[in-house]
Amino acid sequence: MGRRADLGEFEQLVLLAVLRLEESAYAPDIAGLLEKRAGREMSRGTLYAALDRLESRGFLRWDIETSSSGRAGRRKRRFVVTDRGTRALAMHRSVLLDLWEGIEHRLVESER
Amino acid sequence: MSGDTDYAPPRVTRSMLQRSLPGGVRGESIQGDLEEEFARKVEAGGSERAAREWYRRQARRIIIRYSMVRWLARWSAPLRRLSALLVTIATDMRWATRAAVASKGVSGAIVLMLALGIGANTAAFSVVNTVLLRSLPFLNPERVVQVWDEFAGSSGEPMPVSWPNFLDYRENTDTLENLAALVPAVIYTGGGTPLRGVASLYASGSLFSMLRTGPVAGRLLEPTDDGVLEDPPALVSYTYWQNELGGAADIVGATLSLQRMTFGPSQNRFVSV
Repeated sequence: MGRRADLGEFEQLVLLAVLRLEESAYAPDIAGLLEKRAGREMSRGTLYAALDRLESRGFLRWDIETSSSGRAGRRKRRFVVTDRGTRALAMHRSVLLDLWEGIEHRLVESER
Repeated sequence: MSGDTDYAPPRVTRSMLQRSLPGGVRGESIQGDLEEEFARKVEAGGSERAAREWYRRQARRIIIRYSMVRWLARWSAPLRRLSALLVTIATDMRWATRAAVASKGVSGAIVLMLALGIGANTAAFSVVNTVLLRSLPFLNPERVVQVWDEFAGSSGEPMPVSWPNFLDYRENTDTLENLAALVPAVIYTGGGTPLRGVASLYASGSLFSMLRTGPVAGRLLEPTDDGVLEDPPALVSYTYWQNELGGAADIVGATLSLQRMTFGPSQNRFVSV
């Protein structure tokens, strides 16, 4: 017990995408990465809802960046995973690895 | 990237999105993100039409999302309070039901007292409503006054006005527009036994023109009806027409036998309702 961070699957994916993107973790790039590497097509409404939710729970924060082209001068937010967010991800990873331990062979069997 | 103005997302959608987004950097960045992605799609070789459709679709979802957020922010507190109130009421009802069942005698007495109290109040209010609150059913009721006689030497009690006095008052008044006379009476109807008493009025022909009211059917009394003794015209109320005369369609012109007097249509007179 005590190993719960209550992160949904999509929220974990978003946090991981932000971690991977590091200095370029902007919403369009997060969406692009998730579409490319996780095969997750999502509406931007869903993505911004998840980002807001993660921010309100302290797993994410954002910094203001100056505008780039194609934005009509509008500022952009670069997302950063907080320590709390990293700990939550680590906890989920630990739980999954713990549960997988000793049954990895089932994966190999299912692929035959 | 060709520049900020080469590719324009749908103007109406963009405007709607701007209005629905939160203020500050959060809303600004979301709008900027969407426009940047729109530009990227066009630059990547996609058709501008497809990119605009994509923009509309994404903007719709974002608008719905932030509209719901705003709605919840506005109503969640009142809804929580309402929910708490309903829970409190339900708890009180359960407690009251258990208490009522536990002491049936006291509960019965309370219910009886409440019924009597409510009944008395309803009756009192009905009188107040009819006498004081509800407007009289004719035009300009505030201009109608009641005129009484007062005899010298009397204690100020209002006395009925005699017919000659009424005629004098009507002839000589310069403060009242018109005068009408009426005398409450009970008229016995039908020829059977026992006779039925009906609350009635004997009225002068000017009464209804003074009140400026109209009949449902037929005609009202007129000044020329004053003094007609043979087959005088009579009016019946709508309630009497419906309840006692069966709402008969041919009531206008019918003959009524009232207290050994026959009211009817001779000489082209009518009974009105």
